[in-house]
Amino acid sequence: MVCFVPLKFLASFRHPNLVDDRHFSSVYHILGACGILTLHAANLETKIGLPVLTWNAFEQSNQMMWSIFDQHLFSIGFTNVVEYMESRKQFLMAMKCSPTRSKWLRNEAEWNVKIHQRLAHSNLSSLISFIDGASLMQYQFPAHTVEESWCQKYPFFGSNISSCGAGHGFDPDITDIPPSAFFVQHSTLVNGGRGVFTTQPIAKNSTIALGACV
Amino acid sequence: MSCPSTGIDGSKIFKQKVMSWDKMMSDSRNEYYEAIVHPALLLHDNPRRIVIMNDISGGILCEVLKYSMVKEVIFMIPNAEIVSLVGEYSGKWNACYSFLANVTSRYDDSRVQIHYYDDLTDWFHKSVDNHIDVFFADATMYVSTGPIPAVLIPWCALFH
Repeated sequence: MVCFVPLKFLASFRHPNLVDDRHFSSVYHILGACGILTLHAANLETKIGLPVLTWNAFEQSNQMMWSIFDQHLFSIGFTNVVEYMESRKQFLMAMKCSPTRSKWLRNEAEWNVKIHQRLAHSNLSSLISFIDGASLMQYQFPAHTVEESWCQKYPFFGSNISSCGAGHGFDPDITDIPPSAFFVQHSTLVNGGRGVFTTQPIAKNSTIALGACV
Repeated sequence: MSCPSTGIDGSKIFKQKVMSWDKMMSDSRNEYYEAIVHPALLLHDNPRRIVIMNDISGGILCEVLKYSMVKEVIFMIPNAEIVSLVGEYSGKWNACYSFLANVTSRYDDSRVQIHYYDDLTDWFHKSVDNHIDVFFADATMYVSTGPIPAVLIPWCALFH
């Protein structure tokens, strides 16, 4: 029997003390075999809407997020849970089957192909303004603030080379070029105009500003 | 309500916020709606039946309707008054004009079924075996607390 109280259901996402397994499991049971639950689970702003990120607000949000992670979503059957951040808002996505998780790790080109396949019926540029393959790929990496908070909360993992000590999940064999390596100036070529130049050679397959983006 | 801010080019930008009593329920920043909707709908193999809960402004609904493969959207909202208020005051924000050419409101799209919270317990009981592909829930706005009316004036003043 599914027991469901809408407002308490919403409150259960907001306040860790009010989390009730029944509310999550009611959603779990109406999802299909590979269903996805997506929550806008935390708002890293003050409650009056000012665009200010305070450490206390962030800590509160993260505690709520990890409460959901640790105690509920996995225990009721979701096989994979990912979180990502956009515009100081934290999102949480719970998946019922593992193949969905593998698709989360698509590269930029694969994401762009999927966008074009699904939204090709109209002018893409007018339909999506902020999301593209690069931004979707960026969600694969935890936001720096989230990682910092998580590693402080779980110091054991902080010393574990496979998690917090592993450099934010980036491939150590790939060089990441920081934004400070780029500058804009007038070209020395005749009629060349202004252009973007680098202070250092950039090797093939390097990433650009990846560390600063997440 | 709308509070004007100044854009990069100096133009006035109006951000709309939906308030209910002392609670901020939603606002009009599109980047947030795109971030919550598109990752899930691009991940799922065949997203046809979608549930949206607590999307007060309808911004999540607007993004979901951009997918022609979505055949049914169960839209859960507290009451009918909110739907009419958002439709009346939010203008272009409500209509999804860029791709919904034949309807004046996103709620009029034939794929959308609106359910109010009073009916949700029954709906969940009946829907256990109706396989939903993606479930969206905005879990932050409606239950946030605080003396919003008291701080609205300084909030607006900051962006003048």
